[in-house]
Amino acid sequence: MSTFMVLFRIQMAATFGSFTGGTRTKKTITNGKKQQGNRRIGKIGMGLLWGFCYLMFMVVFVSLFISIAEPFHTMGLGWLYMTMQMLITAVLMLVGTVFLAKSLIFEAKDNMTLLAMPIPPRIILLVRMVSLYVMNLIWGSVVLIPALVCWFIYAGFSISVLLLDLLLFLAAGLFTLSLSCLLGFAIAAFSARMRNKTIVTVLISMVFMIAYIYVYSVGYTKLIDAMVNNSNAIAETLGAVAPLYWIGAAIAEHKIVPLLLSLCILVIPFVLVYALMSATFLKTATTAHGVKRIKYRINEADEKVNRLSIALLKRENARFCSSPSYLLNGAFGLFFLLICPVALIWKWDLVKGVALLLGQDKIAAVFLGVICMMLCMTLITAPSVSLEAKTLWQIRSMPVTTKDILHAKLKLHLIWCAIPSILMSIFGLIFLFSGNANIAPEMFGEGVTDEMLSEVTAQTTISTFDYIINGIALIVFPQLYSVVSGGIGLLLGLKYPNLNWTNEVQVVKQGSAVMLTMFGNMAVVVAVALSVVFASAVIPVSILLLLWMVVFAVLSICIYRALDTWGVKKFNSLPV
Amino acid sequence: MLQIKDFTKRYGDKAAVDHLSLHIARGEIYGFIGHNGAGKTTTLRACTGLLSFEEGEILIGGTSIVKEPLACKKKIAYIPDNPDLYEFLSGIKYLNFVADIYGVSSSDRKARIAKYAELFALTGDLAQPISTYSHGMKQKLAIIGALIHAPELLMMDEPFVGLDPIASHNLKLIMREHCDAGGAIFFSTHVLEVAEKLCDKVAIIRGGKLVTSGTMESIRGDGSLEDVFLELSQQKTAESEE
Repeated sequence: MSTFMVLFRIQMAATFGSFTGGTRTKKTITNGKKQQGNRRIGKIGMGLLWGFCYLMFMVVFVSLFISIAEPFHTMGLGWLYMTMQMLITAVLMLVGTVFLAKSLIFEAKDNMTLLAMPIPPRIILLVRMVSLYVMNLIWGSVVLIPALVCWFIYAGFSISVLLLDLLLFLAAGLFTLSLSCLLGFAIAAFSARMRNKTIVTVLISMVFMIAYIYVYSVGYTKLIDAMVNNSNAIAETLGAVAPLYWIGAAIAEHKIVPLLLSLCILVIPFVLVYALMSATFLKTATTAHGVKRIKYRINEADEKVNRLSIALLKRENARFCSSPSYLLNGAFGLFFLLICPVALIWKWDLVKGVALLLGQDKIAAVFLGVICMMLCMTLITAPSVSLEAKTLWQIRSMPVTTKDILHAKLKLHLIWCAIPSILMSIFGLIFLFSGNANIAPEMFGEGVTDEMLSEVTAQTTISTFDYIINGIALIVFPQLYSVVSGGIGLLLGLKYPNLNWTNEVQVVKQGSAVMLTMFGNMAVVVAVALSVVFASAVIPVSILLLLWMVVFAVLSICIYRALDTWGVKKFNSLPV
Repeated sequence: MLQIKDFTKRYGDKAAVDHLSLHIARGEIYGFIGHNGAGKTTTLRACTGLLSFEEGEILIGGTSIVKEPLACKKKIAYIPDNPDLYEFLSGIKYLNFVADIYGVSSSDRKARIAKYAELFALTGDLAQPISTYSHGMKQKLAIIGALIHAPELLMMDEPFVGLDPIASHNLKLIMREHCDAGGAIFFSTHVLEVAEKLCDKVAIIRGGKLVTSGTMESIRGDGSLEDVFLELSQQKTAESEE
């Protein structure tokens, strides 16, 4: 087997192993066959879960393409449709792998080991890039498959369209790969020289992510409308950009020259980037750019004595804040939770109007829904155990109980969740208790009068008891939910540890514990939301929230109990 | 200080360490010698509570590591063969974290950090993240971290690997000083010359079984430790072939 294939197999095993597997604990090492069977079932389960996610993503794109396939086909703008799908595919591939490129190529822990072996650096680089390319194709297929299916529904199946689309899809993957690598290289080079590289990387990533979400969510409806209503104008604009026209025309109209030109445009950048990077890879991967060295001077603050619990908490916090990918993936929901109050102030009257129609009794529930949806994307605890990895010996050899270690991990999650969620809860309280003075009838369209608004307000006004319960729920509910979501994450992190990662992205982003935690947390939020939607006709919303708080309190006790018993045993059985 | 009684550690059917018994008294530097895979690291890890075991007993200052791990861990410090430290911390933050865990007072930690960091020429680098440290610097930091709470028993797995000659020399002085002050040291090494000059007692292990143990003089006799080690290794190989 060639060196490339050997390395590629290892790389793929590490990447996909993190999706489905974990580190074998002592029990799994000694109880051979039964544990192997359980692992196989676990892998199948995780595979199904990832498959479900994949399908859900495709459903989103079916909704986009199904609305534009027919008009584009009718108007004879097949080339425009194909250009659109290739553009969206490229954007998704770029978003999916741009942050991976930095850690996978330039920060892989085994770079030094491999570079020390008699393997040409260009082969190591190529393996990294091909793995990234595979990820690109997986991301891109989420768009490609729905786009083609929708097109074939209206235009009829065509083998040539299928093959040409696939060919250009593969080429587009190379194009976005070259962009991902260049951006990853730029971020790595830029942040390496910064003292606060974590903050810099997180900020760059957040700006990129917010721009993407804005385009996707805010501009989504506008985009579809614009595409359907102004297809001719778009065709004119895109047609003027020759390469975009070539791609579409090559697929839809089977034109050879545009096909060859498109392939050149998509593949040549990859060749150039690969040539450039392979010439500099050895230097880039082995040069410690390092920030300016600071000479240590005795500092009173550095030598402050901390209690054991605080010391453990500070250790967890230092780990969390030092890693851009951990911070970005772990606190993803919290960043958006901090943006929510700003959006609320900006659209205060509009939200008030919507709340008025929804009913005063549901305001707290809606706020709690928003807060908990953001909190369920806060995944600080799930990768926490795996991140101990090779340093596990350290804490295990110290006079610290495993219970204290696990509690510190959960406490970090609770503290990080508390600040933005309480801030949002306070805004919720202000919103709940503020009047409707600024709500004008015209906000709801013509024919709505002050009297009608007063009538609606009177109908949806709630009792003092409900106000008190809703007020309490706004503060307490998110904190209880944080215990549940963080606890689920920690328990799953203990159940599916991966201590052999070569790149922390494998555990903070792609780990099975992270994935299962996100789904588990979402399921809890959906259960609460469904209960409010369906049971609120029979049971007042405030009582439902009260009941859920009781459920969460009981769950929290169970989680702490599970951590102190099963969790302790599991942590102690991790191989050092 | 450390009593290993009939200690056995199995991985499946294979015994990594088989009925090992040793006694390390206060004031002793005890060397643990053996070829790769002989069971040295397994023994050291079991002594620090990192590894559970099926048979035997390990007592630290008369306390069982299995029954009262926390009480034992407060008395000991362990340095593994590969110092994988918290790379997200700076050197000084790491040392303060260790000091916090062991409840070292502010004045004691200040004095010890100043003393050992100076001795290992690491003072100027303490503000740097550990991720920027070389292997030797990490080893020095691990040693300072181990000494910061003045442990009664110091257990080290290949402590001299990666250290420069000056640091190696200083570590030997520290080890002697530690034992003269009533502490004990149990460490593994492949450098037989170091063991010969430094150790009061030595144990040789092969294939998980104790081959010999005793004072350096009694083991070495008129020859060198290297001669004894090679002779015992060849004997065992011949026995196993028979």
